[in-house]
Amino acid sequence: MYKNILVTGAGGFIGKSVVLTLLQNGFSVLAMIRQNSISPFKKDPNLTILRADMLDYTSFSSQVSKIDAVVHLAANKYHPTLSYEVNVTGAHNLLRLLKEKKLKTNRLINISSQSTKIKWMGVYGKSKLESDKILENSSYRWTTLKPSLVYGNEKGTLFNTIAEYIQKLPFIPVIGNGKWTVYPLAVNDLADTIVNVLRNDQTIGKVYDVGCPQKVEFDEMIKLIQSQLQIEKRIIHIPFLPGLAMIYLLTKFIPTLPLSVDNVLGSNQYTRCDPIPAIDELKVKPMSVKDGLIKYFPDKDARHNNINIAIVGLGKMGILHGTILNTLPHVNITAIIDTNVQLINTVSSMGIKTTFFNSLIDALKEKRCDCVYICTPTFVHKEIINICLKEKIPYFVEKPTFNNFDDFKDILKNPITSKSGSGYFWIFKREVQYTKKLLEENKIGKILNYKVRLKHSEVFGPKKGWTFQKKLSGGGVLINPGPHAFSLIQYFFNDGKVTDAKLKYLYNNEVEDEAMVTLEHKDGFQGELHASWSVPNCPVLTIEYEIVGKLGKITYNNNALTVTKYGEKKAVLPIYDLPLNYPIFNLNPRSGGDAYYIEDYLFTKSLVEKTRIQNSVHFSHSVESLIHQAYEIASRKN
Amino acid sequence: MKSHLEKINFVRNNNIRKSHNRELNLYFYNNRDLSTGQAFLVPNIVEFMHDVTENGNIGAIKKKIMQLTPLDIIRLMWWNKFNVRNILRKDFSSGIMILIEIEVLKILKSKPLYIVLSDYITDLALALDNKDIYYNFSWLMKRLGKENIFFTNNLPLFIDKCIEWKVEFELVFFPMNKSGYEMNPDKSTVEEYVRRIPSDKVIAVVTSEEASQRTYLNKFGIKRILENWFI
Repeated sequence: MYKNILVTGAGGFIGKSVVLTLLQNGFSVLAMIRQNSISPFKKDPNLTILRADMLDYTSFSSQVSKIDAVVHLAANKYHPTLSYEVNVTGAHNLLRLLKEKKLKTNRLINISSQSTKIKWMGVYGKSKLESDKILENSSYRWTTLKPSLVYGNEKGTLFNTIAEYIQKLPFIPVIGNGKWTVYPLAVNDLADTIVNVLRNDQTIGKVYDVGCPQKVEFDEMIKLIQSQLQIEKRIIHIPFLPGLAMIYLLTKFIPTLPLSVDNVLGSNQYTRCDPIPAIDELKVKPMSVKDGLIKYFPDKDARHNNINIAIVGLGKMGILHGTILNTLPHVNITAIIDTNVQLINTVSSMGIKTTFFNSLIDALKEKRCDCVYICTPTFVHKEIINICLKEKIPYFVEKPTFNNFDDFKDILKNPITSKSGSGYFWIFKREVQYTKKLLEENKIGKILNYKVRLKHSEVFGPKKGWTFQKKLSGGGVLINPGPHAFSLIQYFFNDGKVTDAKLKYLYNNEVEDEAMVTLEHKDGFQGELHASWSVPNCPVLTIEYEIVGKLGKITYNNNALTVTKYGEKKAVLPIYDLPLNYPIFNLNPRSGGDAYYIEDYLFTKSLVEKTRIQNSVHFSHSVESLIHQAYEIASRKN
Repeated sequence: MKSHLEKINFVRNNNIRKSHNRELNLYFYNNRDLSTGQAFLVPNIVEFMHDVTENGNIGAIKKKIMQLTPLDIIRLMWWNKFNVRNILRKDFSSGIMILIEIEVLKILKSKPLYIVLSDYITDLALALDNKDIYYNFSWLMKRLGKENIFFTNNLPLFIDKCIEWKVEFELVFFPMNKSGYEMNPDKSTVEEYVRRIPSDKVIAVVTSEEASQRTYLNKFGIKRILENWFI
């Protein structure tokens, strides 16, 4: 009967659900959202977005043409002046629109509130009551719905706010005795009710309370949420009048306070709410609170299939991996470990829902852990890997795995090591993946030689820190950024052997600043690597390469991959034209954010699915073996 | 003469403020060559990471503070008069904000056209589910009478979080180009989300200056672009 529906307040918590339910039920919707706001809806042929202001009649009057009915949800809650303006002037403007547009059906569904029924009303209750009177005294075919407490899975709504308090606070403060009753209603059930009202003209001129059939005391509801979250906290009751005064004062200073005077007034007065007539007449079956909680607050067990990861070390690599892992739906960061106990506040304020420990052993005693991410300085890797092996927990270790190559001997045969990964993210860069594909497809024929150049502007004078102490870091440019270049060589060509190495000490006596390494491969071709962290004008670590084959060559530099086939026109592929086969979250494109994401995504997925690990510890062993050979040859020469 | 750091982050846009009819340069602050009318990304994470490697977290912040004038140091202290406890407790978002505030104080002298929250911080906050960084940046911009502008490489998540956190913005920069480069998680999802934003709030970061980019962006009603970002 009614096909084209105007929904005011469509961008709000209830509005979003109403619009989606109307669309699912075959209605065409004109969704009115605030001016300049983002639409929360996906593109739909039956949906038109109208950005307008309820207070500014001209902002929407010209854009509304063909509508058969209105669902009026636009309202302002708890603002001392705006509530009255939006709720009352908004109602007047809506009637003016209906009058001027001369709608054939004149159908209006007015969504009101239980707060209009209490004795001592706040600004929201008063203005909503006045708005109800304006709409109900009009000549239009109205139905008013007065929902009890509406909940859903959106943050900032009551159930979610309570759930947040349960998780964060040591106790749950409740103003009043907590004995008042509510009929909590899932937002989808309210949307279904509105659709049924639109389909039932018997509802015209009637006011309905809407809620679930079972009443629940407020304290009982908190306990139900606690039980769903499997967290138990004590409820502390604050007497009504001091509580009201406290909230009144707090709202003066904190405008974003999640609780308002209206909330306190509404929740501490008896309201006669009878949802049964609506349930019977409108033939809706609202779900019980228990079912609603299961739907919107899935049991912790639902995440039990995820892998639990502990991150050791909260330096820049720890933050980087922690941030990426936090975006992966199959990962729980169960613990963050750092010896600096002051970081406990940093961790708790970062946003990751995890627990801080200052010892891995303590963390493993308390938390279930399926994998340990080791993001500490290289010289403590060995100690942490040994703990992981002892506890039989796979690990992911940032590169280089060890500062002393001989340390590999103790771990390589351990079955846990074969399930473990290493931080050689460079191989996941799109240009590297594409080059590997070209090599596998034999596009340039038999390899003849290659050159790899690693450059970075990092060291232009004597430096402090563990990175520049050979005993702790294992060396300079070859073992610090150098492993990335060696990982490419190993990834592209495999089976390499270092035949010559020269090191230069420009600014540091202990560790090299530049290195030139020559390698030879089984198939008889040779390659060169030049690495320097003292190159001016190169703020971001860069690796360029040229691979020469019998049929052509592949060059990567200046953010472009050039494929030259002899006798053919060369193909220049800018980095942005190279494919990336994974949907990603990119934290920092300029520093290989996509590759870091893919590295963590693939490693954690291979743990879940028990599949082969691409950047395994065995791969890191083969890469670091080349570095070890380079140091050996250079030291022999000296 | 531009420094290399400026060159690699140089962005040209000849259509960003039609009324001005001039180039807009988007820079990281690097202590040199500041001039009126530029737009800045804050904070400069690449530079800060270099400082952290060299001096540690505290040392890097200390170095940045020492670059301020005494008056700016007083202003910084005034801005943070109620925030001292959080800073001393190493609160994460307070630490990030100090970094931003220091750079903003330096930049303000050059009367910037825009101050834009850098993509690294915008996206870090998204990944960590840390709304405080957005609230604090928005509050700082409001206090300075500046527009609230973000740069993100993950538009869909950015939009979802802005709705969830009720964060409003005047402009958003994000990769949007024919090749789909850095349109994360994928091109079609970004295109779907772009349709949800008023097109005058959008600045598309494109991969090249080809006219075909214009044709592609016109389909979404996007008029303003940022070129040469990916060089």
